[in-house]
Amino acid sequence: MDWQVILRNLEFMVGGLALTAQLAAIALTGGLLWGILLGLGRLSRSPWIYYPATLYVHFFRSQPLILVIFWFYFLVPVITGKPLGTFVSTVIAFVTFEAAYFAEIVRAGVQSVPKGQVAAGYSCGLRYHQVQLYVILPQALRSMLPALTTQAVVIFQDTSLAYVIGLREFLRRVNLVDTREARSIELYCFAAFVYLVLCLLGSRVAHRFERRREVALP
Amino acid sequence: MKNLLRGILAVSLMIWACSVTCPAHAESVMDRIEKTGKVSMGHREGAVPFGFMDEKGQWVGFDMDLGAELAKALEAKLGKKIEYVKVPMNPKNRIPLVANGTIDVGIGSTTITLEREEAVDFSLPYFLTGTKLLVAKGSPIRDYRQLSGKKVGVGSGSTANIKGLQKAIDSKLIDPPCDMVLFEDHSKGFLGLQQGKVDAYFTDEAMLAGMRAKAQKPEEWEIVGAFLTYEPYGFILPKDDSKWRDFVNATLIKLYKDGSFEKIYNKWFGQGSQLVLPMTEEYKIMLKVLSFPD
Amino acid sequence: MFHYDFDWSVLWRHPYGAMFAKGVWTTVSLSLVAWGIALALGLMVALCRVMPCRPARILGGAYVEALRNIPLLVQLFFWYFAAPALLPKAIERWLYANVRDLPYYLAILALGTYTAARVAEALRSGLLAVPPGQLRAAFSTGLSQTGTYWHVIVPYAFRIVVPLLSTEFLTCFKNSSLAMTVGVMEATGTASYIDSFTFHGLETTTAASLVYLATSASVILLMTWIEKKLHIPGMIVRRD
Repeated sequence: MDWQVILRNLEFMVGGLALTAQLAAIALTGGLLWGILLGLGRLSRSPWIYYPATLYVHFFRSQPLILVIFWFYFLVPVITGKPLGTFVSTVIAFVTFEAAYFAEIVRAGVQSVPKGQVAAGYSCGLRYHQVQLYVILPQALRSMLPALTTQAVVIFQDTSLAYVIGLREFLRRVNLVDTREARSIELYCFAAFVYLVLCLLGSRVAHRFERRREVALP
Repeated sequence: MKNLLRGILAVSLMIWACSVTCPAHAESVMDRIEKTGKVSMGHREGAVPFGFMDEKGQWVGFDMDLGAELAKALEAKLGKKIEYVKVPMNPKNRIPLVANGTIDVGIGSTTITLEREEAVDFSLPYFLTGTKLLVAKGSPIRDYRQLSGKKVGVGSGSTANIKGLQKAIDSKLIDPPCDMVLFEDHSKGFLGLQQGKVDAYFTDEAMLAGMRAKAQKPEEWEIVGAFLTYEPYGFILPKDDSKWRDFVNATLIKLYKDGSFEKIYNKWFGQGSQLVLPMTEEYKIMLKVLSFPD
Repeated sequence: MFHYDFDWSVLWRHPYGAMFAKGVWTTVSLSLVAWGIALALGLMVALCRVMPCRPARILGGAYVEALRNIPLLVQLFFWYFAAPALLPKAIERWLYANVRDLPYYLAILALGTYTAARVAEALRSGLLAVPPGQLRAAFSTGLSQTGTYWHVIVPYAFRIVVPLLSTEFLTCFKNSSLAMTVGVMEATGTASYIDSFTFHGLETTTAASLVYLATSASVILLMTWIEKKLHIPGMIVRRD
């Protein structure tokens, strides 16, 4: 064992965490926004919106993320003739993919709001979009929070897959150091430890939300 | 809400339709570089000394220096500052990356093969090597014959290597056949060799020399066998873009003639560098032949 | 428009047709064997987590927390690069020399143990969903603790978790694609491998996408049917 290898390369490897965090943050916000639209689309009564949204969600939930990343990096540029670059195409792949999962969370959240709330909203004289915005969304969001934070942790872990197209995030850098130093045990233990600590912190936040919700909605 | 959704759907459909039908590849890469002021080049990450991460985490190598020369020539030609964007590529994705336009040129120890010529174009050759074997010092493997029944590592995207080895098996040079074990990249293959996952690693000598030089104890490894095949390397270029290809070739020829190519070669392969691989006679002749007059 | 000459024959012409079929088969066998390990191990871990014995609970909890919070790719790399080196040198050498498809088996272990943590979570939520009255009723009929779990709780909870498990199975199936990073030639890896010989990635990747799509669709249909068959009278059936 030679744990020095981690200290020697710490700066290089931790530098990758910045990219990991950046990717996770963009995938999270982009995926959530696109996912809210898709989730509402899944609840729409218009078949022109319902069916495309449903098809989209089911399709991307059936695909492995690795394949979606390949599609956007290698094949979509062939079709459109417009190369996107490593980072941009990874971001698009993540947003496209994660949105399908967010959509289902949003749908479940909205459906968890009792129907009476809507009726009450209308009887107060609120309009359709006001009911959506001031009555349904705040309650739905609150019941979605634990699932959303769990999904955020999942996304953080998923960013490691950007490895496959050579984006130099944390895991790719650990791997690069390993091919140079041939110290697999130490390096992968270190990588596992870093992910574990960061994701456990995230999970703790999720648990806290869960408990707070129990207080708010008896 | 419904109208809003409908509007968004219509807009996204329009964007999609537009991006699909926009004309592609209508302009030369040259024109695009002039317009955007950016050139993106693909390089290897784990191929000492062509393109690799040094101890400080810097991405450097022989290919990078050639890339820098190309960028400099572009600046001189276009008369403006050109940003040199480096994109990682590996043996598996290098052809698709050039074919789909993510990179304008792939400089990364790629053998020119007729099969690849169908999908992309190549510059003039800039490097000449051949395939050999890397084994642990004192290994009973001395030549291809002794590979039979053994595990041999190969890069999964190094199709020229895979075909070369397959040919040796088919022609009964290795009989009974060896077991081919695929690795994502040569550096991972060498890690596999160090860990004992394979008995020998098969690829171009220049690559093997780099893998050996990078090892913690280079004296524990040796390169054996005769050249099984010759491997001339070229820059990977997009198909049917003669304006860009001519420019790249002219730049290479200029480097061959004014001696700067030799300087870069000696920096990475000459005496005092981390791996010493003197230019072979064939290589020297190749460069001389390619030094076309103005 | 885009310049691309489609050549779908790369999917069946020699030698790529056989390669692709083998790739799909590898995906199927890899995920099925891993799923078997995940079910067995996951059940054990889930039972540990609801046992009255405190050390067992802690152990089960630690297993789930650790494996769920480390990305599968890191675990896979650990199994592939580091785990064999933890064994005594002689065994490591023997493994490399004598096991032909070592990466395949290591990928199965990685995927199986990882999925087990997720399965354990699904099962535990199922076990917790069993009304406590059932437990008391079973005890009062004189069943032992093991008997109570085996005859009453497990069959009851199993039906509750079938939908959760079918989702986990599909996740396991999709996750098997990560094995390509350690050189296992499964469907995704084969698609990109054939691409590097033929430069027809659009066709091979489309085919791989369709394989995943078809599998997901058929598993979902099958599971909906099973759920209907297994459903406990008086409980709500999932509708989609």
